[in-house]
Amino acid sequence: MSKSHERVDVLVIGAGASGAAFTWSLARDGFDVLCLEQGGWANPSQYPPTQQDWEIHRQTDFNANPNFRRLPEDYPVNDDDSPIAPLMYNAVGGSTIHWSAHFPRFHPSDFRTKSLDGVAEDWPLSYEELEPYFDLNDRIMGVAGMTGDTAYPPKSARQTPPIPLGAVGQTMARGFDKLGWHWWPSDSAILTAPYDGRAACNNCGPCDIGCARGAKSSTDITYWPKALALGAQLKTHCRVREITVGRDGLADGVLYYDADGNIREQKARAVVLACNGVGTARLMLNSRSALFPDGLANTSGLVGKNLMFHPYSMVTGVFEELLEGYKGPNGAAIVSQEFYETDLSRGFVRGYAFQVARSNGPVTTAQGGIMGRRIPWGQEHHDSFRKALGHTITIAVIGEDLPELHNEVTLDPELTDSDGIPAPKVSYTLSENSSKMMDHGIARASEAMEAAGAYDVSVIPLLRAGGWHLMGTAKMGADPDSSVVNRGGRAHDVKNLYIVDGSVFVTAGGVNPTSTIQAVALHMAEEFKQNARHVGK
Amino acid sequence: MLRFLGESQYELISAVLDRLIPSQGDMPGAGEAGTADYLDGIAAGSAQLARLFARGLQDIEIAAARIGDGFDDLSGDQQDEVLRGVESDNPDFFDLLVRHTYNGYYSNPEIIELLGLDPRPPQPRGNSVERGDLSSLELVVERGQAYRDA
Repeated sequence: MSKSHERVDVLVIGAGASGAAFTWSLARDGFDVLCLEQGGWANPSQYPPTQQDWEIHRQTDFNANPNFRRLPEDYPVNDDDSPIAPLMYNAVGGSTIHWSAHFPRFHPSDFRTKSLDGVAEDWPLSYEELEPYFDLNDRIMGVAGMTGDTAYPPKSARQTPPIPLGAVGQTMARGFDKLGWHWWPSDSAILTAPYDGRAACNNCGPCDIGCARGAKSSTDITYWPKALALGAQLKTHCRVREITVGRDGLADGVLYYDADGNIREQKARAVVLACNGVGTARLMLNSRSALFPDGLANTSGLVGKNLMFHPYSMVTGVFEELLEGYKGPNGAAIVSQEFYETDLSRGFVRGYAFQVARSNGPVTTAQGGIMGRRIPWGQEHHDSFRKALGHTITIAVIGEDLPELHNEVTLDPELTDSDGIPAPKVSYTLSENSSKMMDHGIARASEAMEAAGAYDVSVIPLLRAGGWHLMGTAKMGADPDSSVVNRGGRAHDVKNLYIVDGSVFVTAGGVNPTSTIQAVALHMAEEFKQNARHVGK
Repeated sequence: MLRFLGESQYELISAVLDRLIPSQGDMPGAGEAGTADYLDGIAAGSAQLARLFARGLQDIEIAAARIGDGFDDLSGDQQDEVLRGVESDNPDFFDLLVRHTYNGYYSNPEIIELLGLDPRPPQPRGNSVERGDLSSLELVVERGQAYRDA
């Protein structure tokens, strides 16, 4: 075993959405910070959208599911006991490499579910406190959108104008207008005009398999170049096996495997976890010691518990007119938050949002997209295919599933990654409240499709390939018995261990979490710096 | 030059592909369009796939022989019947056969052109998309605040 670095002040594990933001913030104030990432640097010039067989990569090396992708830097996840499969990407930039960059914020009410609705718990943070960090994050990432959305308190100016509606967004907007429902162009972490030295989007379509132009705001091209220029260090292909603890009960570093499979040790004065809602819990549960036999910083027993996905129901309408949904950023052209806030007369508490998604190119259309509802083979093939290609709109109904102890990440007793590190297993069931919520969303989305002029509507009640959002497995709170970290991300049990990713979420909201994950990480970085100053760094 | 399929297997699989995606109007059948070459390439690149394909093609031949001589000699309806049988008896093979057939057929530039699309990758040229009419957002704004104060 060899030491590759002298002791660093701050060691961050994971270079994705949150790790990048946290590292940048510390580097800006001159901290000695090193980040270890198990993946490598992506190579945008080689992303699938530059290649003739681009669509096929979505099934293979750019599959969002690590169990199918199986790159050397991936770890498997046992998802047999979950109706939703966790998705993630391992590289500098993490899952922002393969996301579609839909970038809504959580709402003020999302942080106060107990006070407002009597369910789950309030966050120890408010929208108001996070607002400056939302704004700061928007400036570093670069966001397309439009102010004035009535579903939010007033936001600061977006960096570029909204992504184009196209026929898909326009058609669906007409449907919402007819029903008198809320809609708004989506906030997207995509540049529609040059910004910060980066090029504007040229509407090529498949954001989810890598943006070769750098118009999509993945953290490898936003935060990381800035963080490195400020003196942060980043080492790739370093897979952390466990966090080590000294006799004083403090974290003192990590053991990791380098690119050649050699075990190495890195000492640090503080350790920061940013490995997503599955990876962070996995690493903590793998970090057992005499002091922490049930996993690091787990005296509450809550590490790995309260896993939250967003359930997605997919409602697809078919239209006579050619909508060309294969052109334009494929995440969400527009959104509707008509049913976002609690209205108990609907028969459930909390709510959901509609993301109006564009459609796919020929290969993905034939395979039935992420819904996997394949065009049939045989005599009816061409008619079915023609009906689908460019003629569909999908409303993705995204709901808030509240935290439950039995939804969890544990260690699989047998499955490991290629270095022999135990792999995670997820167990998940959807609550009755969530099922009612999604049924309501499906009915309303179908109504909207008809109002927009769809002649045929089909439904996927619960999308399996929809576990993009991983939250809740190391929740924050003031009470050490009922939470893992405090509002600054600091573990109650281990005073120099921090968690800054979506694991700390108390509830999941009903919108995509990345902007909130990053705002929380930036807030936590600020608290970290205050504490460090207090103790003389 | 074939790398995995023998010549007679190539004939067989081409006939099968023409049933999976038959010719219709301007669109050629998948066999006719040469999708068997694509399948040959991917089977040659994966031992697991090669094994499944070799076995699956035998299943098709055996099932065809129960009805007539060879798959080629059967009527279209009989061929479909054979394929439906293999689909239910050997679903892993059949699922992959259909998956890769669609992948090969719909990534073929000639087919993409026949669909009325530009047969090029999305980058570097991209697309032009209408910005859209945002004027009806006035109606949304008129309805007032849609979020709860917290």
